[in-house]
Amino acid sequence: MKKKWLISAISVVVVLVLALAACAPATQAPAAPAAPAAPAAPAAPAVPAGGGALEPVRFLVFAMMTGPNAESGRQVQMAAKTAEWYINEVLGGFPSLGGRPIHLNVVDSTSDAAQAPMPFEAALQAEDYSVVIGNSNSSIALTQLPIVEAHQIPMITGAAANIAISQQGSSFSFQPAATSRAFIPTQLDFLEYYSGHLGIPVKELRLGLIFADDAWGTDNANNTRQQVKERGLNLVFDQSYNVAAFTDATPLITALMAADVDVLLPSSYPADLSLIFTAMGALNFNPLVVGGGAAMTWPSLYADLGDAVNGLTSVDSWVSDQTGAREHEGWQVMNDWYEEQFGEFIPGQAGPTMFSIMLAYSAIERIGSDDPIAIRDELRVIDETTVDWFKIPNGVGDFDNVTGLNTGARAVMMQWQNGRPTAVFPPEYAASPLLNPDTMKPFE
Amino acid sequence: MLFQVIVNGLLMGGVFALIAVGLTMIHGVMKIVNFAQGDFLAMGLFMTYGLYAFMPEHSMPYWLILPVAAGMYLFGMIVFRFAIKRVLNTGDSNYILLTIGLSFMIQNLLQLIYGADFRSIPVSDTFRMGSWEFLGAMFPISRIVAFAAAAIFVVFVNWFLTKTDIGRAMRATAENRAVAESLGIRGGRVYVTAFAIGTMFAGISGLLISPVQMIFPTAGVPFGLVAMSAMVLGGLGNIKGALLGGLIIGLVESFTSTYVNIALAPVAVNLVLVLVLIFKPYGLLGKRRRTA
Repeated sequence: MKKKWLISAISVVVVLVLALAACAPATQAPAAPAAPAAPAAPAAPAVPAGGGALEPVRFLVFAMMTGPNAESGRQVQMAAKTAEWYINEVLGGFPSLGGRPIHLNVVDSTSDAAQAPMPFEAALQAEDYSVVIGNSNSSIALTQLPIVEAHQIPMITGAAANIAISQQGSSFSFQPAATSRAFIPTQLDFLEYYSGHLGIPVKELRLGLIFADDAWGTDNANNTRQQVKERGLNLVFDQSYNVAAFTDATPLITALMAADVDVLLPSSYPADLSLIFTAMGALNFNPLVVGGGAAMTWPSLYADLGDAVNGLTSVDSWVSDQTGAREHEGWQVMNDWYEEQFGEFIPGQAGPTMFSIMLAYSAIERIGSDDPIAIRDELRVIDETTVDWFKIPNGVGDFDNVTGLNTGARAVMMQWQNGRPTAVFPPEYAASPLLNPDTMKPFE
Repeated sequence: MLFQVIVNGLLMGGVFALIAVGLTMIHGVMKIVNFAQGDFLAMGLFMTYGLYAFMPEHSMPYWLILPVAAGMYLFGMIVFRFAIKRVLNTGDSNYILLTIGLSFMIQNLLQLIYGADFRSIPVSDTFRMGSWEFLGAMFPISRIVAFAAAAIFVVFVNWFLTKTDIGRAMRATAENRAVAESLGIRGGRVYVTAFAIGTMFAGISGLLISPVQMIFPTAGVPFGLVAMSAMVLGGLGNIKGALLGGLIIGLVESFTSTYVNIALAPVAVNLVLVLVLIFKPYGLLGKRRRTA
């Protein structure tokens, strides 16, 4: 008996040692930005000089902190921390509310749309919130709509790109970032621009569409098909894949090769893209890649594939060096802080989260109230002429009075250059010229 | 293209087979299905990732096979001793709840320790994306290595079960524990060995796919599901059946994905499973358990 316990104890010690060894940070080659540590809890409410803490203005940030899409939640959490720092430390909280600080409570939605409503409802019942920053996953954001409607709290959806969010008749939802309906025209305009540089007529290109079978991927695909048909382009391959069961991309790539695809239009998540690009390399399949956003623009893609990502392009609602961001002084302060704190550029889930928070902040400052309904009413009337944070998203910032959709939002094309995404199209949003992916030099 | 499709299916099928062999070994001896097998694969991925920090840059992770195998074997022993052992012979639902709970626990523990970031083993591009061409088909190097290693392990386990005393003891215990114990075989020891080997195989599978698979806490879930299908297809408790099941599933997925639609690949796999079970209820190589 004693011997058995001794063996068990030794086993536990050995496994713990192995586990500790496994906890050691692995080197990543090529040197990618270090994975950031989880941010500390948001700062406590500011204490004024005369003593007595001011009641913070509370925003609920609903993000996927666990499950397969948890990287998205990590980006949202970092964005929330940045915005909270900026508002409290740089802007001094809400001056119109006597300097009350902001408190951004990040709540985990999980990555499962079926489970998400429960923690959301529980969070709203536990505290009084003035604003909700909605989930960046469209499937989950859709489930939030009836709940915010019932609680009468405005929800700004950050990066969620499915236009269906603004079509449900909710009077409390606001969608500031470009939706997939705006993505696809930009993607195809860019394809025409790109093919011009390559000297190939765009209508001669054979397009291959692959997409994750969730709300975002399907929405992207639906819009792509419609636009491709309207423009008379040649879509020769069109398939979704089951995200939950995607273990091997070689059959998919084999099928793409059999269809003789020239341009690949993927709407995929990080792990899927890793399998896809690895299989493409192994099978020696090198089409042009014009991605549909999401993981195509995330730091993890570079961390996984290294310099092999340079030259890849994708559409997104946000690129960290797009014109609106570059030219906004306040945004650049946040940008510099974010990059210093977390060691990476502001990616596609974080940027829209940050400007969603700043739009809500601006609305509160304009009315001098944290009442949710008053905030909702103010959000309906602000635009980029009254709130300069509304210049951050590309296009003309203005929420539709009825649907809450930012009808002026435009997408932007990015290209990975030197290990980070840079805006390359349309010219009015671009920070750098498009480079030839074969040489990584400007087209002649 | 046909040859490429077959190659794709067999290479991936080999990895499925290895996970399934571990699963079927556990079931064969203990008559329980380990719903956390996919998460053990994820643990193998993370263990590989952690130990890779001590290796020279761009080296192949396969050199870590011994420590990963040893670590996962020990982990399997601990899980059995402190968890699985308590629910053996206590009814059909207890082990289901336990192993499902174990699955959630492992996923969340991995996320707690490592965070939600997607990680990868920084092997060289030459290895990761390199391939050999043969008869017009491309053989990805990383997949060939994984398949070859899986094949070696399956052959090894077959030898282990048929030629070693402990292997024979495991087969005897699987058939009838009471009789086996009356002949001097220690059933407890056999159980812990079977579970630990099953866990070890899942962890090794994780190591084998680590060059091409992104590493995150729920990475093992789809593999666990496929392994269960392979196990049932081949016949519960049958090692050769698990091998055959894994290869068949790999081929079905490959053919369906390439010639029909990748979205229908899981449908095709389950359709094949249903059809096989209609005509062979105990799986392709399974046999009805002998009763007195």
